[in-house]
Amino acid sequence: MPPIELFSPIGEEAPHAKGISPFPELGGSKIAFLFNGHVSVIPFWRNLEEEIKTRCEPADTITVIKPNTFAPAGPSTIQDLSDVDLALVGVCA
Amino acid sequence: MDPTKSIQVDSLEEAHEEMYRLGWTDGLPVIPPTAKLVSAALDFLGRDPQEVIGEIPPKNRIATVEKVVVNSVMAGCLPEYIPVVIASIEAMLHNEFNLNGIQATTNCISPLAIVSGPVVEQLGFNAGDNVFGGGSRANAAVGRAIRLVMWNIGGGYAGEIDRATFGHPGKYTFCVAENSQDSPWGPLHQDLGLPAESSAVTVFACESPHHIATGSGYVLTGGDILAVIADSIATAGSAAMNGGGQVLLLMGPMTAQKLASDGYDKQQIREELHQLARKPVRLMKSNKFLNPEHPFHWANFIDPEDDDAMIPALRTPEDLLIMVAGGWGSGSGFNAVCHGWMQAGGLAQTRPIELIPS
Repeated sequence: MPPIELFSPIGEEAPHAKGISPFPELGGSKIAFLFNGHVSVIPFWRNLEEEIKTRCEPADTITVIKPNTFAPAGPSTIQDLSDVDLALVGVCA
Repeated sequence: MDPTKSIQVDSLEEAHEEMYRLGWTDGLPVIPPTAKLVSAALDFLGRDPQEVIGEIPPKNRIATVEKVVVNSVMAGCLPEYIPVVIASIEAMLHNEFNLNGIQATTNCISPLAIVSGPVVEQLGFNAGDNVFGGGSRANAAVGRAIRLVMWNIGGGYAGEIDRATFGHPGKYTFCVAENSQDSPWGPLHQDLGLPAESSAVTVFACESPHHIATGSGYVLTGGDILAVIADSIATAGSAAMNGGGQVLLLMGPMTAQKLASDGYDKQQIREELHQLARKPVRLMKSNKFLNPEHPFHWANFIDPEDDDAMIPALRTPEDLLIMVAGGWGSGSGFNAVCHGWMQAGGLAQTRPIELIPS
């Protein structure tokens, strides 16, 4: 029996999805980590913060966990972050 | 190995196991997408295989006509079903639908494809008994094709980016048709802006259907019927009660015809259910699903300190989508309700279907 060809159902990545834009220089800056505190992502954010601290040596970091998994951060939270240079924000609900 | 390129296998038995190994299916078996099947479907469609339909989130991979055909073949679609699949995908890619969020959310919603108009009879979609169940190749295969596109092209893999806490069986296939024959009113797609005589597909991301028994249509008054339906819509844990958004009411033909004989049209039903489908602050304030500062929270328009104030499940009457579907049952007025995803996405989008003559 000759081989059977099966077409792949997997789509190609869009060109703009390839490549990662480099972070700006973060040494000496203040960086915020803002996410929803969902139990499934806490290890990720903990590891990300440690990696950023090791690689980028920011002057300061701040972690803000929203009170539930779905609400966007409130105005007072955003105000508290007004002096950060870069905020890494988790999205999804 | 480039996952987007075709593979070769030595037998159909090997084909099935290899497709599982490659992750081309979410657990149910699929039809091997052989060159013969894919080419036949592409020939039927007569479109450029490399024509881009869109980018499917969350991985934003490109859905070409060919890739959609491959997934449709795997789902068991006949070539003539594929325009329905394509129209569904185009509808889901509308910004307001927020397919990216639907693919990733912890909520349990899944896109439901609602087919209406002459295409229902022309392609053999089921709008009657078991409308959500088995027995119709068109319903099963079109719904499955949409899911496989979301899986294989979009990359919405369960347990990875798809974080649905429960999911529901509609995440395997979720497609129904509207029962225009037994409906006393115009079709759903007409409510959403298309001509009544069109063939159309409406996609709406929603929870699994919840059955509503409203007794015998011959005995109850229209008001009694709507009171029962209202209570089934306004459940304390529902997405609508907590965060608004759309709700889909599938009325069985008995219930629909009883309401019509009592003088109701769809808009009157929407307005009466908007008034009836409510729960008191006293109950809802104990459910802290959303913070009161959240833009979807009912505290934006209801005083959270007034325990007796009634919170509407339907923020506006137009949030209720109404269609007629299902069978006549055994003398009882059976209906179903599907809650949406608050105002976060999945809002109903309608596209016309252009059928290709066989």
